[in-house]
Amino acid sequence: MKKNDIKTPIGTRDRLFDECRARRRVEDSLRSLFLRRGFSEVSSPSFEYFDACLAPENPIPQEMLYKMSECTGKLLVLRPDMTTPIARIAATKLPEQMLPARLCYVEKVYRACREDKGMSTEILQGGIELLGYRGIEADIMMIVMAVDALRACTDKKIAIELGFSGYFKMLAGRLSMSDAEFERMRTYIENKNFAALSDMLDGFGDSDATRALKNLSRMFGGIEILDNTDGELAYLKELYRGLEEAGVADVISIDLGLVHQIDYYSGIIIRGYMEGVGTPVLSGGRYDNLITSFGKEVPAVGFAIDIDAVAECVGVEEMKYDTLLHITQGAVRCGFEYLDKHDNTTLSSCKTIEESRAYAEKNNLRLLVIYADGTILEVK
Amino acid sequence: MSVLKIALTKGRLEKKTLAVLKKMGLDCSELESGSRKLIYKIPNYPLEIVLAKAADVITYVEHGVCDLGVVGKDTIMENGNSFYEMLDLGFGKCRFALATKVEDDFYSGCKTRRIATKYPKVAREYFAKKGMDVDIIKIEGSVELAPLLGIADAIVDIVETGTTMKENGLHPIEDIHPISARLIVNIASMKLYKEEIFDFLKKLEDNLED
Repeated sequence: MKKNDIKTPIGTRDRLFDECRARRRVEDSLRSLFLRRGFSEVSSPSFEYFDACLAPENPIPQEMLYKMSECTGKLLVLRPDMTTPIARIAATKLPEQMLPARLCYVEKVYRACREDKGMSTEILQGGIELLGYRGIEADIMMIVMAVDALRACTDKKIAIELGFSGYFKMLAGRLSMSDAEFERMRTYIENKNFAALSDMLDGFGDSDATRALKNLSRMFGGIEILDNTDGELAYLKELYRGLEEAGVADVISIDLGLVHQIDYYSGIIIRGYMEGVGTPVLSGGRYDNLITSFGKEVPAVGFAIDIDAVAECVGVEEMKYDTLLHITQGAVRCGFEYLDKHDNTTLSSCKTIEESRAYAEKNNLRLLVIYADGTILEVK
Repeated sequence: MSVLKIALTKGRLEKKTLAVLKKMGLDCSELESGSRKLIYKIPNYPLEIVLAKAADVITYVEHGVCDLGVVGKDTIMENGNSFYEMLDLGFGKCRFALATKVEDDFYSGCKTRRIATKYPKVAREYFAKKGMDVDIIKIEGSVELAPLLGIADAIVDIVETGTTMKENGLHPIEDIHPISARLIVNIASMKLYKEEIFDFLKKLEDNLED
């Protein structure tokens, strides 16, 4: 056996039987929900040109990209997310009169990670994008879709949290900070590192902005955290009222400390969680500036769900058969027709009737034998 | 009410954390009975305690198989990725420092320096911030040996009292970062069990020494 025969590449795995069924079930639930709600499916190549994925707004660093080269010598990458391909499609393939457009996809994305960390490098995502549609109705529609999408997959406890990139940017803009200091502050807020954040901001004097920023990593929870906040957050309050009307407010929380990938998002940020999964299973938001880098101004809001993480958590019921069918010589057609009509029956892989009988006995199944003329006999 | 799982770094941090948990009124007697178990249920609080090596505490919390963890800032700086770092517990204090042989002048000359350390990421980021290109060499055991044997010009290591360094003719020349024990929280757990976690954090914080 050669050295690389056993192991699949880092972060990938073979999936057998129940794992495939679990994944397929989540995938099917999501796709059928998306289609029912008026989203049309698109598909894009697994690889893209390297420079297309290197937009300055793109939060995925180049060490996380798998690279290869085209026969022309141009550098390619396995797409690290679906947002960039969607942005390209929106800017170059969708005629103006087709906007606003609702797109959905179920595709794999690829992100390199360190060895032995137990992370996936090949991730199956199901997601939707709403293009050319600005405003609160679009955001509400997207968040309700996020809730319904997770609900379509599981009865377990779920949580959707909303961030709002503009608030943090507005507060930070009032302080004169170097890029490095800004990034340090952003990290402290993202990690809810209260003590370090407070120490750092003490160096910037006492103002409304520093007080609000110090408080930012604590600003998460229900709508009540927006009590006593001023005009800047009125949008979130209005959004929340819309979500109440849509009947999903019970799973919504707000986290103003959600400041990851802050250059990428230009409005709401959405993250979703599911009981039993330790990482976010849903991630998205509004990014009105990304498509601009492909030469057309199209506002966009969307999210993607990590189908494998959901499938692994939700699992799948065991297949239930009570009958084993043995097909004798010349009976393939009528045997298959019988299988097509009977969900409770599975095909025997044994060569002889005797072996099939032993297998059926061992697994407590009824054994049927089918002959070329279509006769079916039950064997005891 | 959901039972929270907390991973404690085995050894000194574990003892100090248990002292605080006991002050909170938690029954930790089974943990102190000299048992070799690795997971303990607290009989009078919805909490399970998992004992693990420092870097594993981070792995378990990042993957969400433990909701909370107690781990040193040193391990977070070297191995940390995505979780909430919510409390500075104030114990397990020491610092990262850059140290050389007493007689050496680290900054003289133009040669690319070689740095020996158990913490390559910490060292790499420190020198990147200084804008200085260095070679990093990973050493598993007593890092003080590396400059003495001549394989490195300096070390980046944890300094507590400085005695080991002194006895081996080394001295710290720059402090890199203060270290203490931190309480970390899994991101998804925080959103799904906010009430339980905040309740626990509040009680923990109230029982910390100033």
